Amino acid sequence: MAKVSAKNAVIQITDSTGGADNISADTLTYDIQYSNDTPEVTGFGDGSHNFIIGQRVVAVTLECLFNPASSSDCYYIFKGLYETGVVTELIITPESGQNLKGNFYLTGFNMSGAAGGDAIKIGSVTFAVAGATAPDWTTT
Amino acid sequence: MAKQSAKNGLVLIGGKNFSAQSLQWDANMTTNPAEITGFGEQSHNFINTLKSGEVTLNLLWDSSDKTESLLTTTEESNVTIVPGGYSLGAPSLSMPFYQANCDISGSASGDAIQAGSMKFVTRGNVGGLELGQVLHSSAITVSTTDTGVTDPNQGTQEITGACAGVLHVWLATTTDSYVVEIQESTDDITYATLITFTLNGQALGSERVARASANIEPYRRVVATRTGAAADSFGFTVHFWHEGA
Repeated sequence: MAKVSAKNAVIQITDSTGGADNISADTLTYDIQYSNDTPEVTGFGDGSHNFIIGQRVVAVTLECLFNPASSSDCYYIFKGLYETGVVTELIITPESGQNLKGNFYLTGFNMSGAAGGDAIKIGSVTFAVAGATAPDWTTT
Repeated sequence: MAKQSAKNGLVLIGGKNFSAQSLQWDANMTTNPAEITGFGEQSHNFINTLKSGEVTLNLLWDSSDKTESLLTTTEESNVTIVPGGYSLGAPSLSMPFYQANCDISGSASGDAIQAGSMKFVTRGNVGGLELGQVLHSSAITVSTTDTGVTDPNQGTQEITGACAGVLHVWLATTTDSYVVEIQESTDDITYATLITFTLNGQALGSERVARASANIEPYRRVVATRTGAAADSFGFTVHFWHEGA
């Protein structure tokens, strides 16, 4: 496989009671920040700035549509995670067979509506890593 | 309900309906995560801390007592948004606030005067933006007992925790008065009072009544009991929030 459209991404999340839900149809975009800190260790006499690998950074942001149809749709899932502060397992599958999986806290979100009549949005749904184990890429 | 247009949104501030003056609303909520990464751990990791909430409304200036009243009062008040418009049990967001800040602007070309982005921040020891349900939003002329409703996340289970009700009186009576209650039930048959508001409908305003801890039954409804016989209209909206999912 080569370059792949994002249109078939799958977003799965556990709600505040531990139930696994698929919110792909409510999700507009995902953004996975997956990087390593690179502290600079350049010393006198070194030929260039140089760096070492530090701590891994993983964060996820979702942009979604407001869907309050049931407790397994995105509004009530995010509400429950926000109100209870429990850890959620988030699985993002950009392409079939490759997914990022890990434990996160939902740390906030933004809801917005405009009188012009666009769909109500739940944006900037931010997730921060919970626990000492880094989320990682897995193959399914 | 599924995905919804914002066109029917309801915006209430201190007992006044600002829906027609609102161009856009934004509600931000965060748990202000704190980093707790220790030596030997695989990645930066965090815990949730104190919640905070903030609401921003993009408003048009209104020459009646609406936008101006927001600028000239420092009284405690409540802002409540029903994103998809009223239906019984629809999701609603509410928070108490002290002060609204805005940026009034006008241009010589004659565009509508803007009250600008009016920003509301949380007042008091509350749960940030309270994500709840709207239990009533209409005008009545007689004593009324609404239909009971459940919360999708709570289901039919009793839970224990803090809760709060917010009453907006947006159409005051002339002579009648009302007692407005939120009642709860385990079976949608036998109800008991959970929250009683003190506003009696004879003046515009909003009121938030909280309980620090309560056994919260799965069914809730609003009961408004009239004193008087004039049958003048009483318009009000009730939002209910409880701690937990």
